Amino acid sequence: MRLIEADGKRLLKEMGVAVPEETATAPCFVKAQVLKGGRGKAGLVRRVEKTEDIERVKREIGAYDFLVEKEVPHVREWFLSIDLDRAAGDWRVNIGEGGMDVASAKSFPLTVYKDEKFGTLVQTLAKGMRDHRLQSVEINPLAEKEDGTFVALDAKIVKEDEATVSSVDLDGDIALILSGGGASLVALDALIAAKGRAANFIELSGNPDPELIRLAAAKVFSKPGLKAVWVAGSYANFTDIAVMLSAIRAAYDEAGLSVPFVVRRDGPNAQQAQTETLAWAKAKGISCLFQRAETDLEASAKVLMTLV
Amino acid sequence: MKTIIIQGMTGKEGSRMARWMISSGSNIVAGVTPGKGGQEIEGRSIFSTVKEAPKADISCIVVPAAHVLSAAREALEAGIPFVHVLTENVSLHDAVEMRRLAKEKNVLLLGPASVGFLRFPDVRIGYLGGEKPFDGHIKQGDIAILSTSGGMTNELMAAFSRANLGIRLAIAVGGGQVVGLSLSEAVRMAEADPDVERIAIFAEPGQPILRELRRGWKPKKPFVVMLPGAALDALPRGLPYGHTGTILGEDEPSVQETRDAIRKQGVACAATVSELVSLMKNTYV
Repeated sequence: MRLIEADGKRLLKEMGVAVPEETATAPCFVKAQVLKGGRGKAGLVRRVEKTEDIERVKREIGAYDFLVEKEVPHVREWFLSIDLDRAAGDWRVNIGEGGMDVASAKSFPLTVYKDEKFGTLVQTLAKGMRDHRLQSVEINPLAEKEDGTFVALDAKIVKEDEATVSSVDLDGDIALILSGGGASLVALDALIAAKGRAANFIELSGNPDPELIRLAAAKVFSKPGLKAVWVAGSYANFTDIAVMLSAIRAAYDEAGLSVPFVVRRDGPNAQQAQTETLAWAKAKGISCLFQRAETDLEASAKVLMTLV
Repeated sequence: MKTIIIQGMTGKEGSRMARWMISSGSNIVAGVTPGKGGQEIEGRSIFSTVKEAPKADISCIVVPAAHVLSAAREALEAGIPFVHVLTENVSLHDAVEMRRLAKEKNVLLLGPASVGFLRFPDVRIGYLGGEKPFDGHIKQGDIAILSTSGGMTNELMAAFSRANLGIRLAIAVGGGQVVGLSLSEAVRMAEADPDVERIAIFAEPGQPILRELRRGWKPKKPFVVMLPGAALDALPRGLPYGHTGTILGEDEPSVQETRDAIRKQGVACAATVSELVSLMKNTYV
């Protein structure tokens, strides 16, 4: 999750990295707090000379949140970031002239990085990243003052994604309950290939608590205008399919739905899940299919679309 | 036969994994849970520390995410040469640290978030292949399946088996941004395995191996790739979808472009399971 600049700077300050002082008087910089690169060029960061102009400038920019900061006199601007080098599976320090992007900065493995000029700051950032579970920190520009100390004039910080059953909202009409990181992607591709459009989706993996599954499914089912439900995933290694389907059926019932319910899953207790789901659908008059491993995700998506 | 301990065997997932592994022939000699030494699970003694437990060749870690790093440290310090981590949602910082420690000690680290490892006819670590991987529903043969996703590894084993293509080796390396054994390293392992003739990988957008393939690296054995995720081409970039490691960076080529670039290097690249199966069939000639 990417943080807005103000939250990022609050974190930097906590870590022991200097940031500009906030102020209510000019001269100052008025900075719109939006998650967008190139704010300077887009006119979302403005220098204001007179205190009475601050509010007017804010209105002109037209954002919701602003950071108003004192100017920091400095002699040089740098680019400094720490991020993950995925190919190496290790942290990497990137340093360049201010205004550069990460691709054109010089990179060094964090574990061997030693530099008189930036060493202390890099160590402070690395420790802070660990303490706050950050995935990357980018300071650009990093101002170097005349006395050789540094001030972070901007902060682009990404936190690690917390483990939650999150739902993604889209604009179609098929509710998706997907399982397994890899299979979720395969299922989304299959739906698109079958000309289906996802209303939203959740992804469940492992053996989540049934109550969590029910709540997550309820969220997906609450979207108005659904035309079908597709419960799709891989041939599970250890997910209890019967437990999962039972929680999903409960959420479907509570949402008062009657749209077609198509399942494509296999794995532990899939036979029980199939029997129970088909009996449930029959009793309620729901159009329902329960497909196992022999029907691949592409074939399942095609059949699903014939029912919509 | 390799001796195995399970760290976290007293937990719900740990004890079920122990049961399934024992019933498919794995030689589990003990479990380890801090403070629970003296108990017994599935007929195996529980010890409070790895050092107290009988010497093992492999440790499977099934402890809560916040305790994974210290459990892995304990296994490494006890000199265990192969560590498997099933636990999902381990902090990236802990994953990087574990990977570094494992490299330092030359230990094979699988995971975090690895469903497991199978080698036919009888080696089974973790949950891969479900309750009974060796009951014949997965056909034995000469293919290695290497994947970021445990579910898709199982899916591919079933699909290949239905097409009469047999499996020798299957590894779910884990879907996070940093894992111990990477997909590229798993490919090198399969290349070195004398019983593996052909290799299939399942890699999601953002996996570093895709960049290597785009640039012309090729394994020495017949090789097919499944790269799903064309759906991502229509979604905002820079966000994780499915696995936390599945991120299409802002400056990366689209999934379709990546497939084309890989094919241009002479590597067969599929978008779906059925396409992957038919590409694999062609490697017979």
